[in-house]
Amino acid sequence: MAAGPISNSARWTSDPNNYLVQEFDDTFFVFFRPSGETHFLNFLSHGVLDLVSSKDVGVADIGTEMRVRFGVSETELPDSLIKQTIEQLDETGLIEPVGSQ
Amino acid sequence: MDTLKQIVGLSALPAAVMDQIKLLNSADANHVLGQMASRLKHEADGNLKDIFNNALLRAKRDHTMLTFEMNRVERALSEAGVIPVILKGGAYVARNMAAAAGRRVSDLDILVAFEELEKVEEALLAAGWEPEETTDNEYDQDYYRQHMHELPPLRHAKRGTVLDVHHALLPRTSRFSVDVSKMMDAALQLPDHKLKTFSEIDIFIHSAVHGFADGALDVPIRTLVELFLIYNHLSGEDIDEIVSRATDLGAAVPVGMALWAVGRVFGVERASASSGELIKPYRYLIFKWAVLSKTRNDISAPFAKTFLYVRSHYLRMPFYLLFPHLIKKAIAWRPNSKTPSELPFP
Amino acid sequence: MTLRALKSFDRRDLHKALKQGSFTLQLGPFSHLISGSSPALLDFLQDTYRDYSVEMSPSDVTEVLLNIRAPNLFRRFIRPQIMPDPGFDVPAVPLPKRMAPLAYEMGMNLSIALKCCRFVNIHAGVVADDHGAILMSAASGSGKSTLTAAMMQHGYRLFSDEFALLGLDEPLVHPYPRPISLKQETIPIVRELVGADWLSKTVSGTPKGDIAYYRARPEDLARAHVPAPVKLILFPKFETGANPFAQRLNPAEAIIRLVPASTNYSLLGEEAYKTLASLVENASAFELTYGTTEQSIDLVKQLTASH
Repeated sequence: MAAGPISNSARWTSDPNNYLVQEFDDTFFVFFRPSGETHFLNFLSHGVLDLVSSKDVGVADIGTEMRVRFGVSETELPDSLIKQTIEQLDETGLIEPVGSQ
Repeated sequence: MDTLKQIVGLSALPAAVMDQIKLLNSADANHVLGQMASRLKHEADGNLKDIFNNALLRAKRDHTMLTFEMNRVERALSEAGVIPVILKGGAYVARNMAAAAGRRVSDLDILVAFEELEKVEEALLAAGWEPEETTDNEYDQDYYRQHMHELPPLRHAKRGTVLDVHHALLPRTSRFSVDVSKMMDAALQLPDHKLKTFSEIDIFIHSAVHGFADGALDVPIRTLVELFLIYNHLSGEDIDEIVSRATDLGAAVPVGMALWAVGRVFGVERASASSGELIKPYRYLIFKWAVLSKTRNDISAPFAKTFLYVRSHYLRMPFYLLFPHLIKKAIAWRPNSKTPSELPFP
Repeated sequence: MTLRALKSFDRRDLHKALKQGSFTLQLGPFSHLISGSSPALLDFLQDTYRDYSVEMSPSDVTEVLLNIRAPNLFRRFIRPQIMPDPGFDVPAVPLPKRMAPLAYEMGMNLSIALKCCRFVNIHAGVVADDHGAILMSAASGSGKSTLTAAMMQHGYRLFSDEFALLGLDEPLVHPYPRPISLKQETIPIVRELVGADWLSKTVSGTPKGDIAYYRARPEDLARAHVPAPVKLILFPKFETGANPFAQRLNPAEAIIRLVPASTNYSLLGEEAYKTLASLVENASAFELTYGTTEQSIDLVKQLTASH
């Protein structure tokens, strides 16, 4: 479940100063300062977080960039999976739509 | 009443160790140890410092939780076009008021206009809040909606946090009616947020109404300490204006009582004088006596008795919050995840 | 008042101090103010806590408060019961008065687990030698207490059988050597290992079955203020008839198991996150599967020799 309404044109953002990341093999141990909570991210969730931390990106571009980053096709990494990942990250507060505040 | 002055740092701590222990125990049992810690931490060392640090850490965790909940409410309402007013503890924290320092908070309270209730409830339900189990039945739901000044409490399904959505400050059944719309009109937006709080003078008035409306004889020590800390933080103009503002809002009696208590318990002469302008000094004598004697009992209860009858809020957070809910929150599910181990019973 | 070994006080003084709530126990990083006037508690303290440092009235305020009391006035007199009261609501059941030792140990554990935030508290057994500490995290019934007791016979000092107290600013574990709680079938095993003199009287028929306590040795108490770095993190798993086996865990797997075993991880937030991250970076983690105490000792010996 998302943390609020998500429009199709939403662009996503995150402030890298808000979280700490420790990488262990393929798992990312993340502490999110605003919520005080710890999350374990897989490579895809972390990839999305990392991308939107460097610039504001919409869902289509996130999909394209993730497929390039991990060298996979759209069948392997469809936009539906990207959307699901975004919703999950939205729910933790790690990412948010631009202008939601 | 010297004890309350010691708690807020107006009087020196007692010299004898056993008396200090009694004072700390009493502050803890009355839920003001954190406030005491934040005011006295610079003078503390040794074990006292450790005790204060424990209390401050808990408050800090509460404040993080509450601030994040405000952020989540803002996110959930981002397209509803509603700017809610954060009430009570949330407002103290958001405005970084002296009353926030060290204070424990468990729930977030927000206020919206009655006409906006439905829209707000809908947006919150869509974002993961749900009716709290204990009130999720037809009778309670109807009762709240018909008679209360708030929706039945909502609990977030994932985070477990509780949110109270108010549309008024007092139940419809209350003897007083405070003009909440005037207070909402004077509410101030938080910089960079779509959230508001009452102005500081109205924050004091709300706290007074909360503690003293309906002649409740059961004014907890926490409320007295809180009123003092808010009053102490008001600007000179606010203090000059308090009598006329309280009268204007229809809150002369509760605010008069609150000012009387602040004046009497903490020795603040200006508060006593303002109280005299709002309520006649010879009225409410029994009530005043009851407040003082309850305060004395709560604070001076012998060590063992306090242990027996007064419970602290350490565990107001349910047990699942003590065991970090990281596992169920994990985005990437790991096959090796273990269920939380049991508490360390011997 | 000054700290002295409990055994140097006579019973009347102890009783008086416990009754008026001024009895103070100093152990490791914590001081505890204890009240409770039951003879069963006094017997237990005089036996199992004989070598601990105590004073009859506190010389400073204390972080831990514990009252072993009747759940209500009625139960003080009629089929008397007691329960631990650490000053906040705890999920403790009233117990018959003779089970005061259990109420006391349970209350102490709840206080440390839920109240003290100067350390990341992990529910684990900890022992150490000159090379560093071994942290053993497991659910009950996994043989953790037996393993802790056995390690103590092999040159390790006891830190705690309940809590690994991890420092927030330096990656060290702090000793808190309270008695080791033994349940049911582990009682005879440990009695055999360490000798009957070291065990308390068995409290029978508790909600957790029979319980006895193996008391910390004077040498454990003498060094209760000396912390140590953690070199090994073990997750022991007892399985009847199992082939002994040590499975190496990567740091993420270790953390995923340690976080739920912590009683205050979520409360401490960022500091706890950093503490655990540095813990797993500086120690090796293994899951141990074994079917006998001897096998578990052999596994640990092999691991300590190679790490």
